[in-house]
Amino acid sequence: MKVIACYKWVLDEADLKVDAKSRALLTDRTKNKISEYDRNAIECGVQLTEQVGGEVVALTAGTANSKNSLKDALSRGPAQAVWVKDELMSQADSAVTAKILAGAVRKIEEFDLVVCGEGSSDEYAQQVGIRMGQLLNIPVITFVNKVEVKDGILRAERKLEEGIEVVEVKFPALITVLPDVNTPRIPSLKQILGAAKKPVQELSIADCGLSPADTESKVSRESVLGTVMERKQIRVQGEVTEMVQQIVDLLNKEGLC
Amino acid sequence: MSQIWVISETQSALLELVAHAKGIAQGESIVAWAFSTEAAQAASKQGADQVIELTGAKRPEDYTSAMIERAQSEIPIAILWGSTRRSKEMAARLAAALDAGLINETFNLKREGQSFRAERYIYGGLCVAREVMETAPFMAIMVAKTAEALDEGAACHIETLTNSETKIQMIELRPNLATSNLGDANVVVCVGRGIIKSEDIELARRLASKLGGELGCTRPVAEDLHWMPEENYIGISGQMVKPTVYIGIGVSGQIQHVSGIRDSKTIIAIEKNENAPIIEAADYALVGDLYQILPALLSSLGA
Ligand SMILES: Cc1cc2nc3c(=O)[nH]c(=O)nc-3n(C[C@H](O)[C@H](O)[C@H](O)COP(=O)(O)OP(=O)(O)OC[C@H]3O[C@@H](n4cnc5c(N)ncnc54)[C@H](O)[C@@H]3O)c2cc1C
Ligand SMILES: Nc1ncnc2c1ncn2[C@@H]1O[C@H](COP(=O)(O)O)[C@@H](O)[C@H]1O
Repeated sequence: MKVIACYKWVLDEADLKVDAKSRALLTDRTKNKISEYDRNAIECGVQLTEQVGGEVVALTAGTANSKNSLKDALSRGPAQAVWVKDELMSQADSAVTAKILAGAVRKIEEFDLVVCGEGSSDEYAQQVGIRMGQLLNIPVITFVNKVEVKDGILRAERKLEEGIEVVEVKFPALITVLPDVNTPRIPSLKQILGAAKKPVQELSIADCGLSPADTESKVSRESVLGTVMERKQIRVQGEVTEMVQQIVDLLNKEGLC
Repeated sequence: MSQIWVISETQSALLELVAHAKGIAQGESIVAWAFSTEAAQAASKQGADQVIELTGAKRPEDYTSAMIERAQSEIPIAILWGSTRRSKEMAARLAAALDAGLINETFNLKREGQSFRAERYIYGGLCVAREVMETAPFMAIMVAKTAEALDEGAACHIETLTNSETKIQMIELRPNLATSNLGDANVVVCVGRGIIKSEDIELARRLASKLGGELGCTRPVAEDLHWMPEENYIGISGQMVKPTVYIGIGVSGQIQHVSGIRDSKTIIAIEKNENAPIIEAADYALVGDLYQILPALLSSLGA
């Protein structure tokens, strides 16, 4: 079976800072990473192909900077990668991104399953994968936390507010996964070295079949403002009994004990 | 007459959405899509101008094609959705089919003529982004509980619709019986991955009940470790809390979690790593081993 796993190369939000005065976002010391839940998406594809045979193609769309992601992604098990590279990706909204990715999937031809993360770490728009499925006219199963493939049928468990919904679908299909679907493996040194030898296909947005009108975002971003939280930031250190006493006093003052 | 649509498979969200729609309507009629007779009747009395009741399918998502078909001929000026996982799936499919923008977890929605402005959090809640959309339909998933249902009035017409898709076979639904009162709690005790065994959560539970509060957790404690129900995790993608006192125990304080506790009056952290982000996000940080501090705190409170 052929699985396409979509991942996004994002800024690591743990490195991001906000300037307390201007509330501007400071990105200068920020590293990139594979979006958190997309590691689960890649792992999901790899585990399924380990069980029933086949291979995983990793798919990402990004600016030139996302080149660095390819080795990282390929060290996690996919056999090859497809990289849509365009500076326009720095501004693409979810609608445009989904069109590009759907176009890239069409170029990959024969596939059984597309796996996406439930949401990206930076935008968390929770829609690019679902949109892709709709554009490709294949069934979509969202918020999956358990998945198995048997005799060409995919059975998935979805975690919803009202409970666990178990569904089945025939291929081709698209799923979006939750982080508890698996624990992504940590690539070994050998896998990291091996990743450099795996094939990467580079595509432009035009290669994905988009017209200039298709690349126009529907949602434009007017401003981004950091949130600031005023906190006392008092460190309570020392003997455990003294620390505890301070907190008990505090809880007392609030009338809680 | 042009329309504003509101769609949710839960009745309470549907009624909130009708109120949101009233707030942005400029003469458009409000069409509510309901997934049960009860919700359809409620919406018909509480502000909707027209109600479409969907019946016959096993899952709400199975009506998405029917919605797409109707939207393609009607082109509503705006479509507002409730904030549930099923709605997010339906909304994104509709948005793709109509080539429309869709803003997730929207607040502060404003309209000027044909342009809609709204805000949402990005980077796990570190920033607020203000976004604009100028082409119809404007689509947004509204943050829950940001509007009050309207008062009852005369009932409007309810139309029923039955066409649904069958590509996905529903095998079973195992209902989730857990509920959470975290959003309204005056005290929230939250456990993170710093807790070593699931049994140790009992210590935190004792603290919560002594202080008359509720127990919550971080997303990995619920999702990766399965030590607490999903309803109990706090953060940007889970419950938002606003207690008088929040006590985090073995919680590192990543931005996605801190975004959910931002409205707490006082934040207390018990954390052994003095470089953990929770230390700066807290009013009082007890820097040390929770396995020493927590038992001592319990005994001095007589819990
Ligand atoms: C898109 C997205 C959405 C997310 N949404 C949420 C969300 O809504 N809510 C959420 O919580 N997370 C969310 N996360 C996950 C978030 O990024 C963090 O991974 C998570 O909050 C960390 O949980 P934790 O603090 O329990 O675990 P860890 O980060 O592992 O922290 C455990 C802490 O315990 C401390 N510790 C260990 N032993 C002891 C001890 N004996 N005594 C005292 N301290 C100890 C450690 O020093 C450490 O700081 C999201 C992530 C993404 C990508
Ligand atoms: N630029 C991208 N390249 C590849 N996959 C993406 C990209 N953006 C989003 N995705 C996929 O879509 C999912 C949902 O993203 P989002 O809608 O931004 O929350 C992610 O988890 C990825 O699997």
